[in-house]
Amino acid sequence: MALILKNLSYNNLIREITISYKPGSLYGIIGPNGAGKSSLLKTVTGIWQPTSGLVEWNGKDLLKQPREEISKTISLVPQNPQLQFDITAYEMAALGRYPHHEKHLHSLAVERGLKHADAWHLKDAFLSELSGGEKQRIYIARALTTEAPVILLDEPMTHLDLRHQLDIWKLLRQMAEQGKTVIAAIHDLAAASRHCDELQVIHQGRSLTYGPGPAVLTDKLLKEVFGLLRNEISF
Amino acid sequence: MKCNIFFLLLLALSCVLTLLIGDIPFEGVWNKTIERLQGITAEWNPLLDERLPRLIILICTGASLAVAGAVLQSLFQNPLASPSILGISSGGSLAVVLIFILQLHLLHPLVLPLSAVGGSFLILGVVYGLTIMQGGAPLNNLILTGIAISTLLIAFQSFLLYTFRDHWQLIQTIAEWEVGSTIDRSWQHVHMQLPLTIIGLLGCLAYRKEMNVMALGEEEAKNLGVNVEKVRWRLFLCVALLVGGSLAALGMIAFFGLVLPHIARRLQGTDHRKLIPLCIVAGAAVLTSLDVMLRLFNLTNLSLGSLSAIGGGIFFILLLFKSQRRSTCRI
Amino acid sequence: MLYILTIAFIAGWWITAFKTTTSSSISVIVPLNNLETEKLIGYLSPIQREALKEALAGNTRLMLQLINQWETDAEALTVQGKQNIDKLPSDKLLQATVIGQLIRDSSPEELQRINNELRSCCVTNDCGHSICANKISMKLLPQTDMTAGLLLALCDPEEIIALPSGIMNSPLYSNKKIANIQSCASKLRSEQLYLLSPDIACLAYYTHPSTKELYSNLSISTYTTKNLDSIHDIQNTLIKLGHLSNHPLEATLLSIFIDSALIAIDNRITALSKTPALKSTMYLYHHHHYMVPTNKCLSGQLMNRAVSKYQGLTCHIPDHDTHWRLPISQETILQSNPDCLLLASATPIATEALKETPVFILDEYVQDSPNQYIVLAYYDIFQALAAAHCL
Repeated sequence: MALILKNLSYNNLIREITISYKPGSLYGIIGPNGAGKSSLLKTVTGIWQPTSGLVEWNGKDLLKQPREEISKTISLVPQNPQLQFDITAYEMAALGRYPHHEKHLHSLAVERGLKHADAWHLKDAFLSELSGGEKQRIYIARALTTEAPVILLDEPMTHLDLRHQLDIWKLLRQMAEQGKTVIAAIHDLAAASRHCDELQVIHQGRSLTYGPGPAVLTDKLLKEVFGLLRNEISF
Repeated sequence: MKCNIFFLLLLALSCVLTLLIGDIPFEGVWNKTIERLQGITAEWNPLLDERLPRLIILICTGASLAVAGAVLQSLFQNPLASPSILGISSGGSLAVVLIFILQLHLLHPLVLPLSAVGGSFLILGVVYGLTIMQGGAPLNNLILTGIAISTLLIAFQSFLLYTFRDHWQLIQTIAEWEVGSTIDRSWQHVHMQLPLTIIGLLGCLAYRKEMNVMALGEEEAKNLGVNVEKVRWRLFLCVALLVGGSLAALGMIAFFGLVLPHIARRLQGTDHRKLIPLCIVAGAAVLTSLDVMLRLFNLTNLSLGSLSAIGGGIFFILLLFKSQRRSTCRI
Repeated sequence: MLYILTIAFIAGWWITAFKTTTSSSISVIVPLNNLETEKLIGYLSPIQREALKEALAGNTRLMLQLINQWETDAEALTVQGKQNIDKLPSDKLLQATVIGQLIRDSSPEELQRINNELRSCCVTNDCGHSICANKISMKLLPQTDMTAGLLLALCDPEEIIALPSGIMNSPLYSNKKIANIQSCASKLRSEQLYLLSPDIACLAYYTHPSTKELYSNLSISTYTTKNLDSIHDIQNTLIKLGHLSNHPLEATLLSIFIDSALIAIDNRITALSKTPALKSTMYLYHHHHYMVPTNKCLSGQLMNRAVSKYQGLTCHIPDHDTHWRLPISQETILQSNPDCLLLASATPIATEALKETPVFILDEYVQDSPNQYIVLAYYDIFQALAAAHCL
């Protein structure tokens, strides 16, 4: 089931974006700072109510559904969330079960999510004790416990070293292979081009183009959108 | 768990003392109570008609204010949030002052409590409505609108009190109401407050999980499936019920809703599944104990409101001195 | 649906609870009118409240008439064999007679001259400061109800340049007298004060320092009063104001009249208690809850005085150095088991606990008057006790 955006707009931050995200694929949303990548993710999840357009899922306008249904369909892994209090990894992952009411399935789902994210060994640790990469795994585990078919990630590689970045990429790939629609906003063009099935370029709130990395990242696009020359990036 | 047991014991002790202490010796009171329960006599009984209603009101008010404060501090993610932040208590207070000025409280005993509750709800509606008109109800807008409305109401109340400053009987009446007093509480006050407290507390208990999720932030809560606007609105309604009921039954007990949640949070942590029940027990226990202290030591200079304000002020000063510690708490 | 259920629950609870609650009423009895009092102690001259009020407002002829009448009453009671009958000391009686004659027989100018010869030109106020006044015709500015009440009884309206706004609505003061005096003494600002130029302003001890400074800068003498906590304080202030306003004779006569009136009421209470019917009474205030006066309060002192005259009667008036009133619960009231309650309240509230106890409503404004009208307060207390005695 594809997640389809139809003329989706939010004030002037997102302008009439139309795209179809297919299941089982890893999408990378790229663009310069302030292009609207995070804004797009927040609008798609309904955290920001779109000013026009719709997000279609299973033939229905998803954002008009109850909040719980939206969360069961799309889960966002946030960028650098600030915690007002400390919490264990297990409890953070368990928060992903909020939209679900089948209490007897909760612990199984949480365990599955943590194991899938390779974070089960961290379950009793407090988040403040974990490294950046480990924290990212916990948030991804939380997204997995929601059992949402669409996972959005906002700059998941920020503040991660190369090793952790590669681990996260591997995890995202696994999730896509399991049939989920994985959409990540990425800064690193080279990594995005390398790992993602398709890239979507956002510039000034509009979706300029999308497709496989090499097809999208033309010299012209690199120059006009990113102000870069090809030889400045190692693909 | 230990905290709950401690406060439960304190509450039990305060309840017993509240029922035992009075000007009429308990033996005489007890005999008359038995006669009344057996239907031998129908005359006014100190235990059944004053001490017991007072106890129920103290328990309801203590629990209400503590839970209302905890809920607001959680919703606003602000440790200084209290029932006055949305103008709820100012609205109820102004309504009562107007009732006193117009002498409508003489028409029926219900008028005063109804006006307190009505005033609280009216202002909540005004604040929320104004915030929606500004385009949605994000927290910052709510706080600012609430503070603005609250300031306006307090200013208007001050204007009224200044205008009527020559009417010293009116000023005396308002002064006696404002400080919060448990003297001569009756079953009428209990019936006024109890249904509001039951609904308010049940509502706050029902949304404990949501409050935990909302503690991560508004966007995160939405992301995880919480209908933030609906939950917040319902919790505000519950807070208005709790605060309005307390105003109706006892008057203004300042600082209580601000301080008690902090004490509970330091003891229990910030998990609302445990924090809210602790606030109920601790709030009831502490307020009942304060009242027992006032009666035992015959502190006629002090009222419940002023005693809780003094205690709250001292507590905050201690808090300031200890603020070197980490601000995060563990669940 | 949830909201409807919630509203239904709350509304249902309230309707059920308050439908079955019958509003209890306190049995309120208006104090006996003069006729009934006359019947009670038929051989004494009747005390008409209006006449008493008029005398206290400064009617010197009426004051002397009443003083003489009460002396006759005291004689009658003594002849009847009643014990503990008080009389005005003979020197005061003589003084009152002489002053009354002087005031009656002198023209206004002569009276002014005599007053000026007899007055003390300097008096000490309650804060220990000396104030001097030597003009024959003074211009006065009372800033408090208490001093305004005293001065209205002593002075002509032309001598008072403004009155506190609380006086205008008071039932104690005759409209005729205050009609020509502008109100709102507190609203007079510096320029208006400069134009009006009062000789003396009567201030309270809690007046703002900036206001006191203003008066000082405008060279207006100020007479500062503290709380008047006893009859003696009232009389003392009365005399001092009399000297300052060039009405020492009127002030002395009024002071003697206060003594005489209180003694007359004492004697009537003593006469009542020949056949004592009351054992215990209680004096209460009510605003938001019940309060009882202490012995620091004038009402408390009046009750102690009345109770000392009524054989065997007790009244709970707590001793306190700093508080005029203390809160009291229904339980305490019931514990005292009073035969009747005297309630000084403009807004009496029905209470379940006091349903069976007769309650007499007193005018709180009069009860709390710290000036010559405290006599009216004592009279109202006597009327209530007399009514209770009859029950």
